[in-house]
Amino acid sequence: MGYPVRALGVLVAVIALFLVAKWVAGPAYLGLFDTDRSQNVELWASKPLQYADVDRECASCHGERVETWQKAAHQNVSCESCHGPAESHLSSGVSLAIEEPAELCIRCHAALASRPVSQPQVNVEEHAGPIACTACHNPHQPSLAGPPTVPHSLEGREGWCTVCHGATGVKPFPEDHAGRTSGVCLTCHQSPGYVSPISTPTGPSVEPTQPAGPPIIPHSLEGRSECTACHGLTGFKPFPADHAGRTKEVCLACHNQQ
Amino acid sequence: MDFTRRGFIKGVLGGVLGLAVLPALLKAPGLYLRRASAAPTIDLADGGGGERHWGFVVDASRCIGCGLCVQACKRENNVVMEPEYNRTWVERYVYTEEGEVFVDSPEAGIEGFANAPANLKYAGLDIDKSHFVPKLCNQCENPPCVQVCPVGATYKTEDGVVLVDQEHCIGCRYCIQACPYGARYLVPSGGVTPMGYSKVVDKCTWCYHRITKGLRPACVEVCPVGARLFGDLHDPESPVAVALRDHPPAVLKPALGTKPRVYYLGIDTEVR
Ligand code: HEC
Ligand code: HEC
Ligand code: HEC
Ligand code: HEC
Ligand code: HEC
Ligand code: HEC
Ligand code: HEC
Ligand code: HEC
Repeated sequence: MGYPVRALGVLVAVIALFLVAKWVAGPAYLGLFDTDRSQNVELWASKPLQYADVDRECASCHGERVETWQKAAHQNVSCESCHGPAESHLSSGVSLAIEEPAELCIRCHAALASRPVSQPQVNVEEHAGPIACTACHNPHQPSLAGPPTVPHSLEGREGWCTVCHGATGVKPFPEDHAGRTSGVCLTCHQSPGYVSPISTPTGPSVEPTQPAGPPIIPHSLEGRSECTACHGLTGFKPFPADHAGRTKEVCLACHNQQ
Repeated sequence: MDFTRRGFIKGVLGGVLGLAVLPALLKAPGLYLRRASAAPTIDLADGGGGERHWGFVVDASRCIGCGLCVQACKRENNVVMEPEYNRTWVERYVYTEEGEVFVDSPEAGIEGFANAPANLKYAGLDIDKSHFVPKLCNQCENPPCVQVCPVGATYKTEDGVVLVDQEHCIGCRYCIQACPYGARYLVPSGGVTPMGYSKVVDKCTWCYHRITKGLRPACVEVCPVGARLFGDLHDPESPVAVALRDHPPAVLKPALGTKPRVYYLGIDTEVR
């Protein structure tokens, strides 16, 4: 007997105390040297969902909306990114209405120095002012830009558009263009130097030629969202008769701004 | 043999010290090697013990700072809405012409950055560039948090996710101190984890309840620009494998040897 035995006794007591503490406070399913955690793993795996992660499942009830969304600029923005967790909507019909759409749009589209330039951004004050984003933009099909202008010269290309822009060309046109022929492209796609053969009278008395395609809007749109107030058939700058029935929602689909 | 108290204490102390120093000595060459090669190579196949090998990719060059990921995480995992308690958050990095770097994360990014107050620290300085960096638990291959838990209440699963056994967590915060990435937090008394506890440690689980059902983590699902990707690295067609195919990824604080499994694209060495 003596110091060594007494000291060893203390050591053993400490270890025993530690093991007892571990046994009392530590996970009950664990033996002394056991590391099987499957019980707790299962527990984590069994927790309920909030986000359904089933954008396509929405189609069974909201088919039309899903169809437009799938083809439009927000196709990679999940329904639940904007509408929030949908599990409860699917299981018990809880509403997914968006209270403040503008705040939502601004989250992703306000111009910020830290944002990658590839993200479309607007200076909210200048772009919209007090007008709600959704007054002009459909959240499920947001793009309002008209057909892109032709960025290249037409020399030697007129009548051959589909060679390059057909479905198998170097720069294929969008799917909704299927069936369009080279003759019609320039009625929508503006080109600075283009003179329409239809509106150019043959004969000696040459009238000023009318560029084909919808004219560019020469004025700012600020405070002018009610296009038909001025351009309706009875307005002071009436649109052509073939426009009858068109409402402000569609004007910008054809008429580009400056 | 002739035992004296002094002799015994010397012996025990010597032995204990020796035992403590030995592993450090054995490890030392490894430490130096790691320092010598500035950028340790990242082995994606590392840790593929389980059937699956989950991986997470953050492409910071795409992040637009909308903060919907932070919001979705909190809703999905019942995380307290206050900005101090997060399983994931978004940081803003600002580099000035003079080479200074400023990092902030107003409200952890829950409300996005569109209406975030200006950071006065770099007001008036010439900004060179700026971008967002989403952060979350790195689910390290060598998790320091697991090593320090005194009651064994945190552990790594076979498929490589670090979880907390909240029934047995005693809330001592050692793991919070040990985590070099600040990925853990103590649930305040007002909050309740999905497990039903408060005043225990909680952390990102990569939405373990979702990924085990074949769904993406909530933050990945709501990301509008693909800045967060998730999948099985064993599957060559998974979004993570595709994203990493042509781009050498970085990890945060590689020199610590924690071997994170969140791989970053589009960041430079200032991001940690
Ligand atoms: C970019 C954000 C965004 C995305 C993505 C989105 N929505 Fe919406 N959705 C909105 C907004 C904003 C409104 C409210 C429109 C309003 O108030 O004028 C809305 C309205 C709705 C409505 C209500 C009917 C209506 O027109 O008012 C339904 C139904 C709907 N969305 C379904 C869907 C589905 C299904 C998806 C996925 C395919 C989806 N949404 C994706 C933003 C979005
Ligand atoms: C089983 C059919 C069904 C499915 C599936 C479904 N919805 Fe709905 N949803 C409805 C009905 C019915 C309404 C109309 C409720 C009302 O008018 O009060 C509605 C309304 C909405 C609205 C309008 C706002 C509101 O809640 O009143 C939104 C937004 C919406 N759904 C989004 C979604 C999304 C996103 C999904 C996919 C995750 C989805 N829905 C899946 C049936 C469905
Ligand atoms: C969660 C983020 C998010 C939200 C919320 C969101 N958007 Fe978008 N938006 C995007 C992304 C991403 C794109 C596609 C960018 C691309 O194609 O590269 C986009 C594209 C657009 C475009 C098309 C730009 C173009 O070049 O044609 C418009 C317009 C637009 N959004 C308006 C809105 C409006 C209005 C709202 C609110 C109802 C809204 N967005 C809400 C992320 C968002
Ligand atoms: C008065 C109508 C109007 C309102 C209100 C409006 N927009 Fe627009 N927005 C447009 C038009 C028109 C375009 C297309 C202009 C273009 O492409 O040159 C456009 C384009 C955009 C684009 C694409 C810009 C780009 O660079 O491609 C985004 C993003 C956008 N709007 C977001 C918003 C957001 C967010 C709001 C609400 C804060 C909003 N808009 C409100 C009319 C409007
Ligand atoms: C010899 C091949 C070729 C022919 C013929 C051709 N294009 Fe193009 N076009 C291109 C290429 C290549 C681009 C892409 C240019 C770029 O991105 O800078 C392009 C771009 C365009 C765009 C812009 C697309 C965008 O995304 O903004 C339009 C619109 C367009 N062309 C219309 C036409 C029309 C109309 C014709 C017939 C009069 C035509 N092109 C004939 C090769 C051609
Ligand atoms: C009725 C009007 C209209 C006609 C006719 C038309 N386009 Fe377009 N085009 C559009 C619009 C609108 C867009 C942009 C929106 C979209 O994606 O559909 C577009 C987009 C394009 C693009 C850009 C695709 C991209 O990915 O950016 C090309 C290229 C193009 N058109 C070529 C053609 C060619 C070639 C023709 C003739 C065969 C033609 N378009 C006829 C309206 C038209
Ligand atoms: C307050 C009255 C007013 C409103 C509202 C208004 N405009 Fe105009 N717009 C005019 C006037 C006046 C002109 C003629 C300007 C000129 O010739 O310089 C004009 C010219 C145009 C033109 C060019 C016509 C041409 O012959 O070249 C287009 C296109 C146009 N507007 C589209 C629109 C659209 C689209 C809207 C709605 C978003 C709109 N305008 C709203 C007053 C208005
Ligand atoms: C489908 C495409 C399209 C839509 C939608 C459209 N326009 Fe036009 N617009 C045209 C074209 C093409 C012309 C020029 C040739 C013509 O039709 O006489 C034109 C001409 C005009 C002119 C010039 C008239 C003149 O005599 O100089 C005005 C003003 C105008 N549009 C206003 C509007 C307004 C306002 C709207 C919405 C209510 C609208 N447009 C919707 C295609 C469109």
